[in-house]
Amino acid sequence: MSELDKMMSCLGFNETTVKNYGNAIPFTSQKLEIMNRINQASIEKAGNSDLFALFYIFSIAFSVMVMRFIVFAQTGDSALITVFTGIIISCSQQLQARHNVISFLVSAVICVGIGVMINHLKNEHHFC
Amino acid sequence: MLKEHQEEETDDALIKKYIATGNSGYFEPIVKRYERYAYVYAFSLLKNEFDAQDVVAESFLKAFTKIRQYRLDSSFKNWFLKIVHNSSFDLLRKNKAIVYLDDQENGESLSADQALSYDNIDSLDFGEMQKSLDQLPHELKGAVILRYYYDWDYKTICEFLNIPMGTLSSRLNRACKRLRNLYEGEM
Repeated sequence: MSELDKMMSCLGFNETTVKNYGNAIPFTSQKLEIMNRINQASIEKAGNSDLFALFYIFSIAFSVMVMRFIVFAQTGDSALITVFTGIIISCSQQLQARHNVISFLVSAVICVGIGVMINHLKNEHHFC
Repeated sequence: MLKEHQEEETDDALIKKYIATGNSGYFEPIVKRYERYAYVYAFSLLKNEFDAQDVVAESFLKAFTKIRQYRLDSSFKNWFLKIVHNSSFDLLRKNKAIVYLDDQENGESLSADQALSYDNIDSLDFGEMQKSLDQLPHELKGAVILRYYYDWDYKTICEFLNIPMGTLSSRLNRACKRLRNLYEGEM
């Protein structure tokens, strides 16, 4: 390959000439504009992360609400939900038997979801 | 003070800090370091100041948004120049301005003796160099700039362009032939 360098050099393409050519290229720095665009992209990215976090929070809130509904249904702490559950139970005795299973499944889903969320967000400093 | 300190830090250190904090300010010294570095390559390929500026700015933005794809402890400037290379070729394809290699020239590469007989060309000025580069297809132009401006070795160029050594050798041979034809035409 050194032969190639010699050939190119003989045809005027030596290191000095090409470096001089590179240095003579007209150049105006666009650093400020580039940084503005990067900062803008950074803000948009942060906005998307916040939406992502909001999605998680709503998911958890919804899951907790479902959980509370099941717990209330079992303990009878909420009159409204008990009445509602009672209507459902009166419609199907089988559904009552399956409430415990559903409750367990929902709890397991929430636990796994929280585990995944903690794992996902553990390096995201803006949540600290 | 913090700014001065940032400017002394390595590319990888700045990138690690950006990933940890999300502060895009850590990118500023990187932009300062490699703006001109990348611009020379883009300008050589595109022959247009404004297109080259656009490509460099777009490439910085791409590098910033895809920084998690960068492998720490490899060379950021080579990774970034690859983005500039791809963006430049995308623009050339979009503008239908790309000059492809002519495969028919394969069997007619220049012999070393023929090229070495041109020992009278000592140096080319900016205009002559630009004119000579314009004669070369874009792949050859890129290889010439990488070899002689950035002073990369052949192995690095092959990895960068994703071609085997034989192909690079053949391309540079053909570049020599084109240049010789150019000079002969001028005589």
